Amino acid sequence: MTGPSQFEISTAAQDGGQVITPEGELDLTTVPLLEQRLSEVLPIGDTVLDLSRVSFIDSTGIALLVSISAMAREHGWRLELRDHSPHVDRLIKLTGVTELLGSSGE
Amino acid sequence: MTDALRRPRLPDPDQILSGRQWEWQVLADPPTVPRMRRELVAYARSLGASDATCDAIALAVSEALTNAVRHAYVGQEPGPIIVEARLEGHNQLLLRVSDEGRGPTRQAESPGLGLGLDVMARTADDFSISNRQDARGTVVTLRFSLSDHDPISQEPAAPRNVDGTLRDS
Repeated sequence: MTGPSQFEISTAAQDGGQVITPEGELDLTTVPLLEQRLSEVLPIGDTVLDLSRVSFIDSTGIALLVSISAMAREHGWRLELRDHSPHVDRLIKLTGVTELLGSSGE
Repeated sequence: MTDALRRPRLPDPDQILSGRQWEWQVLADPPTVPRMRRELVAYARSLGASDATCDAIALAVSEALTNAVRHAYVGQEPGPIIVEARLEGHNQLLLRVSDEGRGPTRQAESPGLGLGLDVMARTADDFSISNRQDARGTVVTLRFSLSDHDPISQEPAAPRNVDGTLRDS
């Protein structure tokens, strides 16, 4: 496959909040899509960002996770990151910013 | 824009193993990043790179390409990115990402650049970024050891010791 990233974002209601599940590769071609979705749902209620279907993440994706976590804290919105796959966990560790992300839902 | 700029094609791995250096010109637009990342990882995998090495290559290449797309041609039409791959010695994969843009920028002028540089420094066995000597622009050089699987020699001992020494130096 040599085209642009295959990427989808699904949204599901759960326990009065919402679970956002991006699927595919998180890089500069797809981060704006996830950023927009998160900025829409975060003010509404509790949000879980399920990373179990993310197959790749680079510093552009990490920067989004860091900035969106900071924005949630600033506004008092509840955001939980969870379910890194082992593969993504390894990529996040490679970027060296694990400590910036707080709870990883392990 | 020519079709050649749009559609990078990887050389046959057997040809690369013959020692030739390969080069692609691609356009510095966002779709280039996932496309070349996948192509180069597929190539590294065909040389026997481990999953961990492929992850490191995917990450470092993504950072190098993203930097070129974002920073090289600010305020102008996107220009070319030149990607070179070369197998050096028995199992050193050399990747070079060059552009014809404004050259390396100071981190303070480009917020967000620092993390990408740090990631490349962490993931590659060897990493450098500098002004091109031959032209205007930036060149990023990344080197990875493929020592988990030597693509040429089936004899594991001697070449690995030599390459291990080089990698640690």
